[in-house]
Amino acid sequence: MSNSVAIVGMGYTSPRPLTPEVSYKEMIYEAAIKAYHDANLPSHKDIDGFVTCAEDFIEGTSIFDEYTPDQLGGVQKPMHTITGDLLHGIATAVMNIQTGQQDIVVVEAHSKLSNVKSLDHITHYATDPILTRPLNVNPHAFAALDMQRFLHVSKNTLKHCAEVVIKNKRNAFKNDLSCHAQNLTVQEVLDSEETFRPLTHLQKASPVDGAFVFVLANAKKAKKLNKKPIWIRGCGWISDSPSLETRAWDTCDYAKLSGQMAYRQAKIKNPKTQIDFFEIDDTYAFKELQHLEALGIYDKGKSGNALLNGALDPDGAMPTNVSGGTLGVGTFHDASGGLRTVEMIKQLRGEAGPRQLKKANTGLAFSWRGVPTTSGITVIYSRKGA
Amino acid sequence: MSGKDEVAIVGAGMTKFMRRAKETPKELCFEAVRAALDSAEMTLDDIDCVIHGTAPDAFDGIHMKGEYLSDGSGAFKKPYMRGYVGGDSSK
Repeated sequence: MSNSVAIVGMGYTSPRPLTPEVSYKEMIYEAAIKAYHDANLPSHKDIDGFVTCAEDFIEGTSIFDEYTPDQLGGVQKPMHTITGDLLHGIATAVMNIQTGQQDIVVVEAHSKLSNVKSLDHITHYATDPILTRPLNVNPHAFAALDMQRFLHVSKNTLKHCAEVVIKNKRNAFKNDLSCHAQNLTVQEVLDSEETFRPLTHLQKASPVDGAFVFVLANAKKAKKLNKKPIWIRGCGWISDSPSLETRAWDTCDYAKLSGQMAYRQAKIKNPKTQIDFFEIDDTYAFKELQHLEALGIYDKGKSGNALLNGALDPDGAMPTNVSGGTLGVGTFHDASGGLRTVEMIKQLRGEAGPRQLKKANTGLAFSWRGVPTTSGITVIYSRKGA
Repeated sequence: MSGKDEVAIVGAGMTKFMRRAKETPKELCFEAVRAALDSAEMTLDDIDCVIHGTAPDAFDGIHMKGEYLSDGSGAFKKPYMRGYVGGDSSK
């Protein structure tokens, strides 16, 4: 990627399932102050632009973008909101900087899901209002259909999916951000409450609250601000079809094509050997395996056995969700890319503490926007610039 | 902006403005995109990325409305982004 862009600062609040004592604005303010301090910014006035990520219905406020400048120090500055994952926000900020119009751009996303009393009902309102919504199907059933198809086509098994849960919740014990670390057995995962067959309760990430803020800068500013800038080598994002009738059920094209786009930019010819670790969407356990295969890290049907052989463990060949992922830490919905980016930065800076990987030069973060969407984004981070 | 940074609008399209359109929101998007492509003598294969602007979700009663409209906007298997400042698409 020419016109190199780096992350020079990160800030976040501690994830928790309930945060009744703070508003979303206070959470964002705390994350922003930490990020600006981490970036060694003399003042928030040095920031040229802001990108925030939010959906109105989740926030409970229409035209939510009007409520974002104050707590970030973005009043009377170029600022806009996108409806995407935080990684989409990173891609947007990269493009803003590469125009040459802005040198330093801030990206923000947050989750205050504890305020949402009817999350499934709201998600139902994301389905096609004419053809799908009248069927009154719970949107998580779409994930169960997807899982059925994935297991049938790939020949991965329910046991493989349960092992994803066990790995990620075990990894989360070494992450101080974790809210859902747990020691489990395959039987406990498969015997947990059935939601939509073959999904069970423990195979789905649980919501948590938290805010993330990142400071991005062009190469000149990045080298001046931070001794350990983390370079963004590639951003690829793709939307498949939102319609259930026309999407690619067998090939997970949103992950496959977004990965290919990011690999091209990062000049990665073989992701299996050129990427050291992965933070991959695991909103549902099977998604981790499905996304790894679609991204070309494993051939179709090979990820499950690789998992059983320990290849996805922190000391394996393809460490995946060393942070604990959203199964172990919790899901922030569209802010989940923040969790992945924090882990990327900690590992690449060598600041991951007890879970620091021996080899961490290049990492891949992948987010999916959840049911009923087919939108995904891949971002490749590196400790070295292009 | 000058030289290689110059950007131009090469096509435009819009639907009729009307009350109680019988077309679905996706179909309205499709009509506008079709007209824009025709005016530029292009096809979807020529398009690298789609940027979408639409009114706030509450106006249509659709959560994640950008996702719902993406295929109607021609973003099928393409990079797609919905930006909004009160629904304005100029960003």
